[in-house]
Amino acid sequence: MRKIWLVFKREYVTRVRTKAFIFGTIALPLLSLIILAISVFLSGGNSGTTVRIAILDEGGGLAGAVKKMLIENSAQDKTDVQVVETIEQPSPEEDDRFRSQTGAGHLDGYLLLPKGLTAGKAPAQFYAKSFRAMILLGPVQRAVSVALITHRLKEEGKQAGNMQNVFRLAHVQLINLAADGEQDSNEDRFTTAIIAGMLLYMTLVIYGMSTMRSVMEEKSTRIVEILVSSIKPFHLLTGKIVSVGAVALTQYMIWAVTIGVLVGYSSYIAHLVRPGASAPSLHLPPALLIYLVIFFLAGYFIYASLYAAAGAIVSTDEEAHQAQLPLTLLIVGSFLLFNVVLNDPNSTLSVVLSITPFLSPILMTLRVAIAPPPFWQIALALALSILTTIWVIRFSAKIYRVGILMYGKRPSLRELRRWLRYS
Amino acid sequence: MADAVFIEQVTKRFDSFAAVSHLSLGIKQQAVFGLLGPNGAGKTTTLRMIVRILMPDEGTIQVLGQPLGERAQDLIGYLPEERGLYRRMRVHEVLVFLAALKGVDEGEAARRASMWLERLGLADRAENEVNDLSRGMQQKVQFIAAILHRPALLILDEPFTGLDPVNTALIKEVMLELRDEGTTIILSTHLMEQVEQMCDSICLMHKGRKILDGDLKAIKKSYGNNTVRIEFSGDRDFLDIPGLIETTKFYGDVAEVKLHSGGDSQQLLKAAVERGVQIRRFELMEPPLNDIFIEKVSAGNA
Repeated sequence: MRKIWLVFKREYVTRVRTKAFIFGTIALPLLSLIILAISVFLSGGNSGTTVRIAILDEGGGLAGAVKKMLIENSAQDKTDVQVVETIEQPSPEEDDRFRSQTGAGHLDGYLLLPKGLTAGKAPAQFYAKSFRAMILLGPVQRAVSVALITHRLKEEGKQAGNMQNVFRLAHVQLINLAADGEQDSNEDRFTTAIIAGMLLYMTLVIYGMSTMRSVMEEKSTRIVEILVSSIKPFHLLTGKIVSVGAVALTQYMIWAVTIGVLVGYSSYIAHLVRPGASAPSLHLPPALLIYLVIFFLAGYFIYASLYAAAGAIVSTDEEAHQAQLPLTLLIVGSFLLFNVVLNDPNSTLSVVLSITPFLSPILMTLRVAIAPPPFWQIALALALSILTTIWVIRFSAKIYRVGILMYGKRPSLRELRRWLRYS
Repeated sequence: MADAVFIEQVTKRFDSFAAVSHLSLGIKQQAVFGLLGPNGAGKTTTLRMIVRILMPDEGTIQVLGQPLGERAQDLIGYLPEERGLYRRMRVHEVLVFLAALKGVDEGEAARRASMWLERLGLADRAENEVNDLSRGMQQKVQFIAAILHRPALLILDEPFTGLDPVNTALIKEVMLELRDEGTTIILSTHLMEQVEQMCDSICLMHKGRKILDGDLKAIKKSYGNNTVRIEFSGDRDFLDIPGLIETTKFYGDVAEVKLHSGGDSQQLLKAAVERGVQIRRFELMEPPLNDIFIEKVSAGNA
């Protein structure tokens, strides 16, 4: 135990001292600060965020009503829309003109109301180029519907004087009821899940590779011969992996604290950037943070021991690049399965994937962030992950034991199998 | 007293190639032991088995009367042939870490590290990163790392390669001092001169087998005193004495002459005087270890 502790201490101290660690630790909070400032700067009633559209009414008689509805509802829809131009019965050249204006960025989009619209024979078309304009789809749809209904009623001979009040559509806001009875909006949870997944993905790859490089350094400087003549390779491996993990946790803690402070003071920071602005909220439930750490550890131990084995096999950077590829692909793979889980976190496929070892760290965290799964699923995922970790560490230690003293050509898979039988 | 190292019928194979086969060896305590042999003879493999980096496929190894294990490991100091240290760590830090791994208390390790850095002229480099040191300096740091925990058995694989004469002398001085304090030293080297100066007994390995071992003086004696070293000026022709000389080697104005067994060296002196050659030195000597080495190894190749 004493020797493991010594290895742990050395690795930890030399690592925390490096420029890379200090830079990485400072960079993330700094980046979030910048993103916060930018998002505050862009989000408040600035002219740069106004969506400019035009309306082309081929049949005539609708454009005015649509425009009126859009402007009236903009406060409720939280949109900032400006109808630059409305044209009734346009010529085909004008259609082209708007298309090219939108293409050139003078307009964010234009709405085409075709002749057959009132008869229900042709759909209205909303030509949009920017993302901001696409967000308008809902409000535009509502405005067109109301205008259309009013128009038809008028044709039937009914007085539409007060009809607009009758047709004012209700807004339905989606609210996700979390297990703890807490309310938060779906978008917040979605953002949090993506951030948690990204963070996990990045730290797994970064610290996995870091373990690998550490093994390679000991191998290439040949100090490993002195080490192995003083300590059991398994202990050396254990001390190293735990130490790099502790470095990662240290970084997590610093991030958590600084980001916590940042979130706490976000309205103050927002005020500094643009007086009167409100800050975007990022909701981080404490349970999620705890699971994030647990699943980071579970994932880290599996991947770090595999990366360590990969580092022991190779002698050059080029070989290292090849050897780490399958591991990185495995992590990227679980990242790519993001969509499956995000679309339907409680489908059978999502449940199975999020319990599968190697994939569970990222995918289960994602589910925890979106919609907390039943506890037994989390427990099962963890248990399987721990069992796999034990197996993987045993496997990696054998490869490591032989590999660290082998120089020269990278071994073939058949040779690797023989190594497993050696020690 | 138990042997410092006792090796019995040890074989180590890499795939089908036997790097060491059926090696048996006893190394006495408190002496300097030379492990010799051409490249690929199995010296480093043997040393690596003693320090428990490699496990023998067959046979047993005991160190200071104990089977190889963690306790025995802590009694050994090892300077590997392939040198290297943590490049980004400070010199003093590395030394304390390596000594602590061998079971020395960290405070004590720090004191000893400072003392040895001073002794080997590296005191002002203690807080430098290993990276900033020259190769020779790094090698001295590694030597300190091997002796810091006061091992009873010190294993040095080619300790002098890359050192200048001043540092070579310094390391030799420390080695002999340690031996006098009771440390057993195993030295693997190609430099026969060093072996002749330092070793009490040797083992010559070739192709994984032991071909010669024992007390160095006894070995030399068994090869007879039939080599003559002559320092002279004049014509070399006087050395053409039929039936007397086996081989002659010239080093400048020095000739190393090996006589046939039973040959009388006086004939050589007489011939020189008759031809009027100026003789400054005439010495009957033991065969150089170099010659024994080459003879044994070429015989083994045949």
